[in-house]
Amino acid sequence: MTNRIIGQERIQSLLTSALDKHRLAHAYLFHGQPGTGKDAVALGLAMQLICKQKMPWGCRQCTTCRQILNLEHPAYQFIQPVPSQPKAMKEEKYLEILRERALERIANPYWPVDYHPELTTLPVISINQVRAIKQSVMLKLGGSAYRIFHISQIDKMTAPASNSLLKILEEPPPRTLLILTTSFPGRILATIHSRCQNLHFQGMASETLQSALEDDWKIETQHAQFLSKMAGGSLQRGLQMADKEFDTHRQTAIAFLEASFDDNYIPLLDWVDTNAINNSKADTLEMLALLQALIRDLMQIQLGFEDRVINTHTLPVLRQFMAKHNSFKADIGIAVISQAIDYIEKNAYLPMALFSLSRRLREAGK
Amino acid sequence: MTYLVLARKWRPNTWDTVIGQDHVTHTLRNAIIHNRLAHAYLFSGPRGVGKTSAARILAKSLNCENAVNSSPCNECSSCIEISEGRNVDVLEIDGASNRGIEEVRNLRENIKYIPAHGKYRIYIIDEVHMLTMQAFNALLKTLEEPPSHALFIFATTEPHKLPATIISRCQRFDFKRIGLDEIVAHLSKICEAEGVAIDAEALQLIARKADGGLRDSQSILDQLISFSDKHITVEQVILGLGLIDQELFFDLGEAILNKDLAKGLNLVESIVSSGYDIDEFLSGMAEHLRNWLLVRSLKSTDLIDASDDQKKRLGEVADKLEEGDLLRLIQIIIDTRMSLKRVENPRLILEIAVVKMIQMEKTVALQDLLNILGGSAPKVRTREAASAPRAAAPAVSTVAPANTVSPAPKVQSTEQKKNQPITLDSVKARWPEVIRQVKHKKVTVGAFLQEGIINAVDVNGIELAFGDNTGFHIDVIKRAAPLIKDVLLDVFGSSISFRCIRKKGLPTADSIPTSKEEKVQQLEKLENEQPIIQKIIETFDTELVD
Repeated sequence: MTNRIIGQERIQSLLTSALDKHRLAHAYLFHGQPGTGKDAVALGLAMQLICKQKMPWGCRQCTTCRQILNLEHPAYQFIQPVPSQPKAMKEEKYLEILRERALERIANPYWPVDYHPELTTLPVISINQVRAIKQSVMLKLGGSAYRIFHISQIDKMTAPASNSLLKILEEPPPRTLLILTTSFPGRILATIHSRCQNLHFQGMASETLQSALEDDWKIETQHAQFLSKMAGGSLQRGLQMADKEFDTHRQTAIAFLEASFDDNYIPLLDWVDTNAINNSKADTLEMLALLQALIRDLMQIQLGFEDRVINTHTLPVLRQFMAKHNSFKADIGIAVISQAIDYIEKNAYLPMALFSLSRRLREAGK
Repeated sequence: MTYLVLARKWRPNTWDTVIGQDHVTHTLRNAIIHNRLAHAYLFSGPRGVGKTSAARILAKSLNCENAVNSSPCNECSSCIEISEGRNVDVLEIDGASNRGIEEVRNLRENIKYIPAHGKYRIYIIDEVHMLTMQAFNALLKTLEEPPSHALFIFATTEPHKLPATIISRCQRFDFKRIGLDEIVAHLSKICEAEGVAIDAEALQLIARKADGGLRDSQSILDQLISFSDKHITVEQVILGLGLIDQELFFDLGEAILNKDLAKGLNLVESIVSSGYDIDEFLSGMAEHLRNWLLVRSLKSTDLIDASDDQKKRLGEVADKLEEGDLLRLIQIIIDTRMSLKRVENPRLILEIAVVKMIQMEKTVALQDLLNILGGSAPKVRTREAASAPRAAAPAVSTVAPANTVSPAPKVQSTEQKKNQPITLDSVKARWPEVIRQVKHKKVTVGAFLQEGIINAVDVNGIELAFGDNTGFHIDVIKRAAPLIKDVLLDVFGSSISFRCIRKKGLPTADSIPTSKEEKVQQLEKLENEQPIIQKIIETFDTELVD
């Protein structure tokens, strides 16, 4: 858990500068891959504008800030995609779930919201949510207070909803701020892009990620280092991987690779027997993702860049493997694994998929 | 007073301040002056080019109390009320929020009342494409024959979503994307008024990023002004917009040219650590390669959108890669972007792509190969001359050894054939060529001819020996004698006769070796004689199978 904004110095200085010069626009679109802190910054900006202390990114202590964090402040509205209400569910129960998930999201903006198991339909931002924005935008707040609408994952907005946001997005009443966030800027109407100041959130440097994982989430150094390199700039991805049993998966993955290259079928069949049949689909997918990372490391060894290896734990094993199979084509290896992942996600029969993958990996080694 | 963004502050409010839409403003002004107004207008075009603004200006100029030359005064009560959106005669409706049939029914109810103050009762329906089909249909009758005081103005970015029946009842005006130069001119005007200094190249960059939308460009400029101190430089634009430094693309291009893996992988490292979006980097690189391709094929930099410096640098490297290679590189990027969606760790995919691009074997252009293989001597020489200035390029260096091939054997023979005495060796050396030409003219004869071996060469000509059971062969060859003689004349340059004999115990003809060893021997011999064959074997990594 964290109470601060991690990284994004560029964005922080951009927004601070706009605030200092009193040139804050009325609409911002934050875009960038998941887990880069878009919603964290949006929340921080809202707190800073409303909080009496005027602390950068909010003090999180005062009544105002705590009201905001509890989603109880009248000037701050958090809108995120929600699944539809099941017929069997009571209104109060439904609203309670929505509120609970929204609070979770505000408490940890780096973690994606998950409505399972209670609500299962695809979450969207509907036209009704936008209509609610339009109604409250017209209400006057006392004093010179800012009214802030924080709309998260705007790519999940339905087409009618997006279009009905356009007018308000173009010319909202004074002292209104709309902050939209998305990981998929390409899916958003050009007319929305054009009405906002677009800020691109870049992926985080691995050092930033590593220190955040160590300091804020108390993950031990070596693991944090590995995660930060695997995360590809996304804190969310790093966190999602943090709990996975990488050591086990790594052993399984290496055993699979070695069995695939054995001239005898027995080790492979044994492997499939013990792993493909007992392990869940999710475990297998994680194992395959790790296998890809291992193969990437093999390529680095092959090219003579051992210092770039990510899975440092297994360097000797990888080195040994590469010595035996020095003509292994890593690109083909990674491609066939991607395909296998695709098949498995589409519910291919696990032992079959893995067996076929094994043969194709072997081909790549020739 | 809260801050008003540039796009709103600079929203045009007279016909003259509408940028880049002369075809629309001119027509509308004339219509007002000559009193030839239609009762319904449809404004369509991309985002941020002035549709809603034009609709408001039209509304103002029609109801303005003291309009001069068809342009609104922006001072009278009517104009001010319209600007503030509270004029009772001008209703600006958000089509996306009021899209149902109920809203249209209300509109039809109210349209019959005559305007309160002005001459017209004007309905501006913005985002009109979002109306439901029922709503559109309910509007049709009113739209065809509205009361004389009513005027409709529809604005939309997606006119294709409107039913044809609506479009046919309106006068349609298509707003254009705004040109780069017009955006630059307008932005520099804003900068001047706002007291901000800005580099010319920075303006270019903004205008390019805005992609034809004036409001987009104003939003970007606004963002940059709020970020920088009174003077906006190119670096600030790059930083402020999080653009990918073009330098990275040139670096990757260089790594590909020099086959420098370490450099390529370092580049990946710096892309990842500086937090660039990998997909964006790849699309930028594809764009870079596309520019490269254009410069390569057109030999000019006119068609590409880049700064002068970049154009110059592209021009310098353009010839170092063949078109086919550039296309293959682009293909690698396209494939990579596809697989990017399926993978947990995008960095890994980028690394693979970079390694692939750097290790990609460069091709030799087909035309070059043809020139070397079958072309005449002068052609080969021009190719050599042409390739000399770019000897450093890998694509050409692959060809270089091939270039040393003596001009094709055929050419040599035509020069030498007259004064060369015909001996057993010379005939044997050129026999494959004879067979080839005969086959070319008649396959069967060639096949039979292949069976024979050259037994002797004397003043009477060539003596071909055939093994047992080849009576039929000899018959066919004898029948085709004129054809073969023609070929001999062609190859040796003089008329040579030939005869066939049968020879017992002659198992095979030596022109087609059957045992593997013989084949290898012959192949080696060929390799030594003809560097190009060696080259082909190396390039295609072939080996003798059987």
